[in-house]
Amino acid sequence: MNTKNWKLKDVLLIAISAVLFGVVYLGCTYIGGVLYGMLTPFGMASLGYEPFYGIYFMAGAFGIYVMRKPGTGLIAELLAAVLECLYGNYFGPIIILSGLVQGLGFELIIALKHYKKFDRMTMIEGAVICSVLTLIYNLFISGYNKIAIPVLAIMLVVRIISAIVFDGFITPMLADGLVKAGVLKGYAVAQAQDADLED
Amino acid sequence: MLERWNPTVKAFTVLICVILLSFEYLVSLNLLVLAVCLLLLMFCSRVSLKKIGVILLPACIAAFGLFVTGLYYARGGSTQTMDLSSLSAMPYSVRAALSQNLYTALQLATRLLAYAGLGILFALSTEGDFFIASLLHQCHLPPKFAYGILAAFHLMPGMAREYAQVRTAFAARGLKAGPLSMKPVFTMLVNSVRWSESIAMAMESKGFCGDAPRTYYTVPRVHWYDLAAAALMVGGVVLGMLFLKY
Repeated sequence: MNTKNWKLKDVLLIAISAVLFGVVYLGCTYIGGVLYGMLTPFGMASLGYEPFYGIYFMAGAFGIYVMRKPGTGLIAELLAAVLECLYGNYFGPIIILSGLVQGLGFELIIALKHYKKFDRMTMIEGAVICSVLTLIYNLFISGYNKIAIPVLAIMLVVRIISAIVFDGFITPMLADGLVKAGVLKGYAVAQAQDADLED
Repeated sequence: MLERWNPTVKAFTVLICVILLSFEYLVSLNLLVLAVCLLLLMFCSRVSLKKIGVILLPACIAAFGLFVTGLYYARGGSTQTMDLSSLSAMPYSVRAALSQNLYTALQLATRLLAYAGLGILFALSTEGDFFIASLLHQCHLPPKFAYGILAAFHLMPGMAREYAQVRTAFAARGLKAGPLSMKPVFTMLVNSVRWSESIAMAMESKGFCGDAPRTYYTVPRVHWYDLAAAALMVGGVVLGMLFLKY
């Protein structure tokens, strides 16, 4: 992973957007909290936060979609995790471990496509892989291994839908909107769209 | 005392303990880890009890949710067969206690609490700037990233204020923006790009250069007692895994 070709403003953009997605997630935890409370008597409490799980991957998805360099997805998620750790999340440095897993999802699929294809399908595939990887992580680290398989299946389905909505559609749309607004000049995503226009 | 424990060593200690705990389902060990972490925070750091309570509360709520999930839906659980055996007249707590799921539920919930204990131990006793300085020197994080993270970290209160302002501005114009609406997020992203450019320019105009050699105000070091504390904690968890049965 080469960090030499990262400029200071790239690091700042990724870190600041990670903080922003963190703020958005915090806003959603209020709805999540209500759902959580309603679902607890039915034993489905963990499902309450699942509809917003995709927001966790947004920092990584946004980073790699905008910068399009090897390692961006992973580094972006790690930056987001370190920041979350600094704000005093009760999981502390464990967040960094889950950030690593979350970053891998998009990194894997986009690396397979040699960092050249960034269409809607690629982002959706990344979202699905991210959801599956994080559930595997939960199986081992959070002990979800002990939970009945149908419940895990429901969780996975909700998580995948959330990831597809937030990372397959919303994140690329936000980034494309920024390109149109002319603020992302100098980033790979804007150059790719210029190239599309010239074709 | 906990505040002076090298943050990188502390973080790795916590991570190693978490990975070790993830191989076991020992309720007693999990509770012991939580208790030791809380006692350490209470007696070996300057953290107030109130702060511990505030951060522990959401962890307890999450653990309770997982507990109920485990109670109802443990793998290979006996909830269905129990319902069939017409025990429905019994009080809920008795039925739950009869169920073998109770132990699984405890395993799940206490594991989360043990993780939370370890996480809180780190989160409450570590100052952000010191952690980043330690990552810079012990993990060789490039200065660009270290100071970039710090800049974003200290921008957070301003961003939360700005986000509220953007939402108010939408409301003032009669535009509906629910909590899930992406319109204010888009406005904030535009601001984020601008901020990242101006902060980068500000840092560079003050002479910040990511790659050139530089001096540091504080250089965190790893002392023998940092490693001794790490060995003590990891050793304690390993001993617990070897000798505790439930």
